[in-house]
Amino acid sequence: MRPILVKGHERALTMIKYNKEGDLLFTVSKDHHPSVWYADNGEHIGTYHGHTGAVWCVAVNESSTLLLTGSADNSARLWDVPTGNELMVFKHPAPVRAVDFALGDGHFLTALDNIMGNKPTISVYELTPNIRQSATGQSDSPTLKFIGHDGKINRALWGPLNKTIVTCSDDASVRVWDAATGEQIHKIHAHRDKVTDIQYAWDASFLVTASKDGSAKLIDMDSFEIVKSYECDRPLNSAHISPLRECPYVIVGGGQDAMSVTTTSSKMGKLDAVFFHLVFEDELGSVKGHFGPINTLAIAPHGRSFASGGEDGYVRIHHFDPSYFTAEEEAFNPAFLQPPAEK
Amino acid sequence: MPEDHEIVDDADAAEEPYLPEDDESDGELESRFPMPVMKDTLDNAIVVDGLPQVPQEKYEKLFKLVEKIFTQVGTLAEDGIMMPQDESTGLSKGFAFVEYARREAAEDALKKTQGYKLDKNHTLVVNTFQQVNDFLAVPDLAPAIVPPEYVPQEDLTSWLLDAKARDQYALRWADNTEIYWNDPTVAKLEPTYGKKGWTDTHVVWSPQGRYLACFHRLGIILWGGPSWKKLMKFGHEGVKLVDFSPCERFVVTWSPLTEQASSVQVWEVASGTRVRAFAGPKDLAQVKWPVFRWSHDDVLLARLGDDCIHVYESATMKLLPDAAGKRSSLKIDGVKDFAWCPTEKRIAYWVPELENAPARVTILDLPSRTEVRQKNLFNLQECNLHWHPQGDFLGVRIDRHTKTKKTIYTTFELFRVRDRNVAIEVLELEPKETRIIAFAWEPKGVRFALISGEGPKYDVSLFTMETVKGMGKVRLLTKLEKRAANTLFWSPVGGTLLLAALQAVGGDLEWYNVNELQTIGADEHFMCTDIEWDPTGRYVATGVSHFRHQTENGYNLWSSQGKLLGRHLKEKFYALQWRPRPPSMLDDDQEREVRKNLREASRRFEAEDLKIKFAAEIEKLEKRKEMKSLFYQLVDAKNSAWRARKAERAALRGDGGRESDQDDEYTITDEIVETVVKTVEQTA
Repeated sequence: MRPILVKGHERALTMIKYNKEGDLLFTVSKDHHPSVWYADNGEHIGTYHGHTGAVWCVAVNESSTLLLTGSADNSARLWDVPTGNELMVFKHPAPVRAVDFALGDGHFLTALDNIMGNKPTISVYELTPNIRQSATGQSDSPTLKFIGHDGKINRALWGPLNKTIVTCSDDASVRVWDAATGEQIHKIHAHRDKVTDIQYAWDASFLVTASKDGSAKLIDMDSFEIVKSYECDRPLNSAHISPLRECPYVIVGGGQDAMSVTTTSSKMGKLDAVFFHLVFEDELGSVKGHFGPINTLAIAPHGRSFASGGEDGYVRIHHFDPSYFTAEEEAFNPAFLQPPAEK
Repeated sequence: MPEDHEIVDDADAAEEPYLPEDDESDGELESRFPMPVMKDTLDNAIVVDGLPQVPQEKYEKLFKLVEKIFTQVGTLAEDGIMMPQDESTGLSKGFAFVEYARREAAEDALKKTQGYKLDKNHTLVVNTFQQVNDFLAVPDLAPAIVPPEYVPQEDLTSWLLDAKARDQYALRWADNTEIYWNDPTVAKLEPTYGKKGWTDTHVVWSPQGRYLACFHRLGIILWGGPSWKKLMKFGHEGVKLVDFSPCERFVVTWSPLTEQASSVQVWEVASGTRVRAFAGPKDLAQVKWPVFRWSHDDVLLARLGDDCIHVYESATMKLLPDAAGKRSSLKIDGVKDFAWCPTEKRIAYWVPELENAPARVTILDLPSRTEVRQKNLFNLQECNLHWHPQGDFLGVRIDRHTKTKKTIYTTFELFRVRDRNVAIEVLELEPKETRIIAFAWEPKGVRFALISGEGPKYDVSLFTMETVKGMGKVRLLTKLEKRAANTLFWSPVGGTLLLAALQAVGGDLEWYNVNELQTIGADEHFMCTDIEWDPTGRYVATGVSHFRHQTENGYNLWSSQGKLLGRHLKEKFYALQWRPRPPSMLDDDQEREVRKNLREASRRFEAEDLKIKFAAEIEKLEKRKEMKSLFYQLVDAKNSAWRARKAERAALRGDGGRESDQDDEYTITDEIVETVVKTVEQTA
C-alpha cells in the first residue's frame, strides 16, 4: 500500500471530507484555503479563496455542488464547488467549529467555539433552492439558535431524516438535539476526555466517536447505547468505519500532543493510523507515515481507500491492497487451521 | 481505705466524747471503733532451701550462719528465723523460713541470696511462699501431651509437575503482583494468582523457586504452594533487603530502622526463628548486598570485615573454628573482596598492594583453611573475581592504568582450579590496552564471552577453556566485531548467547549460537531495560520498566532463537521475574540420554503443541463467528429499516427523488466542457 502524499497545505490539516461518490476529496487546514483534489490520484483541482483565518471544518452536499466551510475568521462560507465562487458569507460571533448540510440541501447547521466568553452555540440556517444561481432571497440569519454543551463543540452532524442534530464536545459528551426545537433529546456519556470527532457509518445507523481519552466508541443511533469500544494507547483525533461488509474495520488516528511531538522520536509519538476490528475490538495493524499527529481521517464511501490529514500539513491517500479485502474471509477460513497430518 | 472513709463521714462521731462512759460495753465500743485488722501475710517471709542437714550439736552454728547471711539483706522480724528439726533424729530438715520486717527486704533477699554458695555442696535456693505454693500445685504426673492434628504441608514444588512443563513468572505492574504461567500457545494471558498490594515494595523469589518473599512494613512474608498460602513470617520492621541462602534454608534481612548493632538478621526458614542478628550498615547507600555470602550447601556463611573475613557455621551461627579448634575469623590484611566457589566450600579473595607487598589473589579451602593457590599481581587498580559456574575455573579480571594513567585496560588471569597444581593462564586482548565492559561464563560449559572496546559499537569475543590433547589452553573461538551490544546474557543451559544493548534507549537484540558460531536471530525491543532468560533456557523475556521509562512499559517474550512470541504492554510495568527451578536431578549420563533423544521428543512435543494451539484457535473462531453473526443481525435490521425510509428521504431531497441512495441507479455520461481561461494577444 503505497500512499499518495498530497502536499497542498502550508499548515496543519483540520478536516478532510470525501464527497458522496468518493471521487473528490475536500481538505481544510489552518492555512486559509480549502482545497479540492481528485481522490484517486491526489491531483489538485482547485482552492476556494476567501477565508481570512484557519479553516476548521468542511461539508459538501450530496450532489457535490455546494461546499460549506467554517473558519476562525468568525464566518461560515458557502461555495460553488465547480467554479470556486463564494456564494455567501455567514457571519458569526466566534470561530465556526462545525458545519453540515441537511439531506436535500434545504438547511445547514453551524456550531461555534466557546472562545472569548462565547457560548458554544448551534445555529440552523435555511438555504434557498437556487442559491447557486443567485443569492437573492437567502437569509444570512439562522432560523434556529440554541446553546449546546459546556465546552467547545468539535463536530456536528445532522441525524437521520434531518430530525436530529448530533454534536460532540470538549465536555466529553455526545449529545442529540431535536433539529426543530433545539431541545436536548439525549446525552451520551461516551468518554472520559474531550470527544474530538464523530462520523457516521454509511447508512447513519452507527456513529463512531474518537476521544482524547485514547478510545473510540461505536454508538447505536437508535438506542444511543455504546455497542463497541476500541481502546488505543494514544489520544485520538479521528475515527471512521469502513462501509464494506467484507472489511469490518474501524480506522482511528491521533497521537501525542502536537506540542510535544518534536521533543521525542516519531516512534514514541504514536502517529500511525490504527485499524481495529469492528466487531471484535482487536487492534489489527497500523499504517505509519505522518510525522505529526493525525488530525483527521476519512474512509472513502466506496471503501477502497482512506485518507488522513496530519498536523504535519500532509494529506496521505491510501488505496488498500487486494489482501485487505480478503483478510477477513481468510481469518475465518478453517482450511488454514487444519493441523498437518501426522505421519 | 474504706475504714477511714467511714469515720470521717460519720458526723455524729465528732460530737461524741472520745472516751465513752464506762457503762458502755466493750462490744459497743468495738462496733463503733473497729480494731485494726492484722494483715496476715506471708509476703515478708521467704523459704530457704539447700541448707545442710545438721545434728543438734551443730544446729546453733548453722542457725547463726543463716541469721548472719539474711540479716545482711535487711532487718529480720522478731524471731524471724525458723529452722525445723526432725524430732526423731534430731537432724535439721535442710530448710528454713526467714521472715523480714518489711516486704521489700524479703524481695531483696530473694534476689541477693539466690544461689548463694554456702560451701562446696550446698547452694541456697530461695523462694517466696507464693512460689512454693505454686510448685505444690503442679501435678506430679505431667498430663499427656496431645499433639495438634497433623496438617500436611502443601507441595511447595507443585509447579514443577505441570503437565505442560511450563514455567511461571511473577509480574509487577502498578500496584499489582501477579503470577503467570508462561504459555506461548495462549494468546490472552490471565494470571494464575495475584493481588493488589501483595507486597509493599518488590518481591524476591527464593533461589530454587519454592518461596516468594514479599516486603511489608513489619517484615517479610513467604508465600508458596499451589494455593499461594502464607508459609512463614519474619518480623523485621522496616526491612529493605532480603537474601536467601542457596538451599533456601536461611534468609538474611536488613532494615535501616533496627538498631545498627542488629540490623542484619539471619532467619531459619523452616521454623521462622531468628537465629542470629549482626551489626550492619546504617543506610542503604552503604550496603553492599548481600552482606553474607553463602557456601553452595548452606553450611557456611561469610562476610567481609576489616582486614579479615568472618566465616560462620550456619548450624551454630558461630565463627568457624581454626585448626586449633579456636573460633576465629580469617585474618587477611587489607582483603578487598572474596567469592565462594559455586560448587565447593572454597573461597577466592584478593588483596591490593600493601606497603611494597604485591597484590595477590588466593584460593582457600574451608573449613580446613588450606591454601589451594596464590598468585602475586603488580600495578593493579581493581580486581574482580568470576568463578566458573561449576567451579572448574576462576576468572580474575584485572584492571590496570595505562602508562599515561588516564585510561584503564584489562587483562584476565584464568585459574584451572581442577588441575593438580592449578595452572594459571594470562589472557591479554588485542590490542593490548583494551577496556572490557562485560564478562560472562557459559552457565554450563567451558566457554566465556566478553565485550570489549570503546563505544558506541563494541566487539564481542568468545573463548573456550577446553582441554585439547591433555593441554589446557584458552583459545579464541570467534570475535564478533562492531556490535551495538553492551550486555551479555547466556542461556541458562548454555549454547546460546543473547547480546543486548541496554544503555541509553537502545534495545537491539542478537541471539548467537555458540556451538555453530552463527547468529540465529536479531530483533529489537525499543528502550528495553531488562532481560531475563527463563530457568530452562527455552524463553527470554525483555522488558521496558517503569523505573527507567514512562512510556511503552511492558514486556516481550521470545523463543530461545529470537522469535517474538508475545508483546504485552502493561501500564506501569516494573519487572518480570521468572520463578527459578531447583537444580536438575538428572546426572550427566541421564542428561546425555535425554539429549540423544531430543530430536524424537521435540517432534512429539511440537505435534502436541500444534494440536493444542489449533484446538484453541478453532474454539476462538467459533466464538467469533457467533459474535459476528449477532452483531450483523443488528446491522441487518438497521439496514432494512433504512431502506424502508427511502421514500421519506426522496421527499426531503425534493425534485421527485433527484438524488438516489444507490450508486448503480446513475447513468454515466461523458461530457466535455471547454472553458477559455485567459486570452493573451501574441505580440511580435
